[in-house]
Amino acid sequence: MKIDAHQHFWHYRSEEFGWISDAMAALKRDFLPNDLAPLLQATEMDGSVVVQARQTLEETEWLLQLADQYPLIKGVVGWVDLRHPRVEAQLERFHAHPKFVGVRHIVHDEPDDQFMLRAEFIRGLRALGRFDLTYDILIFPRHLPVAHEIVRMFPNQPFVLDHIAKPLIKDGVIAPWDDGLRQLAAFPNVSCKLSGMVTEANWHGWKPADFRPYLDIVLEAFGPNRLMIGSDWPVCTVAGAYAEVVGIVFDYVRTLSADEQAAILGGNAQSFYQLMEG
Amino acid sequence: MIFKTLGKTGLQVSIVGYGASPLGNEFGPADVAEGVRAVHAAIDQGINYFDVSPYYGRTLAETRLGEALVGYRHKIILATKAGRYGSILPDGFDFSAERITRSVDASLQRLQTDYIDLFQVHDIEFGHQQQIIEETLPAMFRLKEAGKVRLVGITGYPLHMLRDVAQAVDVDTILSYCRYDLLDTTLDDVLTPLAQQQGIGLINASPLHMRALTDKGAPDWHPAPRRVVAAAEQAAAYCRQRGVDLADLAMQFALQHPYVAVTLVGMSKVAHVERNIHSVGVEPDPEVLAGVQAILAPVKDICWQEGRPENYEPGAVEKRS
Repeated sequence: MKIDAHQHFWHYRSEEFGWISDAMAALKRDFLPNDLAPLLQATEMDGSVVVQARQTLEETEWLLQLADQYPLIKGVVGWVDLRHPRVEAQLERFHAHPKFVGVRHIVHDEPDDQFMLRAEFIRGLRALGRFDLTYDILIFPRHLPVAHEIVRMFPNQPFVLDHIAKPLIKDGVIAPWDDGLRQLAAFPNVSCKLSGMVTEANWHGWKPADFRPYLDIVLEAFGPNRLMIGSDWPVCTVAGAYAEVVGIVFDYVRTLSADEQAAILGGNAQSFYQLMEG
Repeated sequence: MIFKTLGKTGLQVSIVGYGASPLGNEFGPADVAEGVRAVHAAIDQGINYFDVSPYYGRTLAETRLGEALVGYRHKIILATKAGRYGSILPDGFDFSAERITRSVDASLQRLQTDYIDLFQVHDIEFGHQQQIIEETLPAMFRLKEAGKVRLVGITGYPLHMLRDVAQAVDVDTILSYCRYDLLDTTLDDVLTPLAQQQGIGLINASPLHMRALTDKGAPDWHPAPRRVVAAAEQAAAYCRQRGVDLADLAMQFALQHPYVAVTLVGMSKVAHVERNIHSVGVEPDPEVLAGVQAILAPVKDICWQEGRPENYEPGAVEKRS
């Protein structure tokens, strides 16, 4: 099974999507499963994991409803307020849903760079373990040391790093991102998504070769069994069409063994998120 | 490191705070260079809260901490105290407005800085409650207005007095010691509800119950009754058999408190820093914890007399030494 491990859906409302600037005008519309279906089909993908974008419980509820209606959605990474003293009640509300597989918080937009180290947040992460849920780490390279401290504290919690931590591909910056990434990859309970890269590249004029140095480092650090392809659609469309974007990873893994390719293009996401076939 | 909000002050403080009293040779001679390395290691590891007093080593701890903090002052939250300068009444204490006002200037000089983040009345039980409320704290608030200190707090052992003073004066923080650990959790009976309700930052010192909760056992000068110390020794042996160090368990237990923002531990060596950091984010082993709590249950919540007799906590026992 080939799985796009990272994409979003939304009904566009300007007040809920402050981060979509005028430069991203193409994103100022609805993106729904019927828009994604032909893109998956054209690239022979069997399904996707949809990830939260708005940080409301209503959105999580809505994504799970979509997952009920559309078999192409294999898993939902939702949002609950991990800082909330009664986060357990929020998790209780969703956890019975078979497609609720994980939680994400938009950490890289928090003003405090040490946000993840706050006691309330850590308490929330601890609650995830009791509900057998994964956590998606959304950070910039400067947050890598903080992520390192977090994963050290939770050796049994499955984590996945989103978008290879968003290095400045546009400017070809590698250090100190590579160090931080390797240190994070040293923890066996951390996986990484090969996603979101075009958004960090030159939107108009990137070449597949721009990503190679980054992909080499990520592959070396995590190995082929902890990486998963993700499109970050529709955000990726500011810099390329769906097929072009996933094509970067398709082309990159071509030199790997068949098993390794299958793992990166779907198997790893399936086992990480414990996705069901249907 | 994990960070918590220090009550309504909004400060993000590391849950482990650096207790600087050992730098003043309070527990035997400390190597000066190693002390500096310990301070720097603590900052590197994310500790951003430093606690000291002119009383520790009779100003030596402040002087040494000040030297170690050169170049690092802006990265950390610095807390010192005033009012206590010696061990014995009456000479060791002066809670007058005049002395408090002089004290801050001397501390600023020794700490090589121009502001104190948190200025605290040190061991209020050695003062008269009325003076603390009507003279000492108002003097501290004037220093806050003058910009020499940013926050004002109180410290001490008898919880009832701390609570009464905090009800009378709107303090930013309260620090107590040996009142939330494996041997005593009365902090939550007397102070925590008020602190939570008023948004007062809560600081817990001596999570090892002045070393009673260590593998080595309590020092001879420990004030708790013999049976408390003996039970702690029994708990240490129980832990040892299970490959656990009682001190680690005690630290992990204290760090789990839901409201206390900072837990203060004395450190003068890099090894102390690393050891304490090791317990951050680690939950105590539930089985060993239950075993230790069962051993300590018969001696739990025994407090001793501290300060002026009129300030003794109800039910406090006589000190052992």
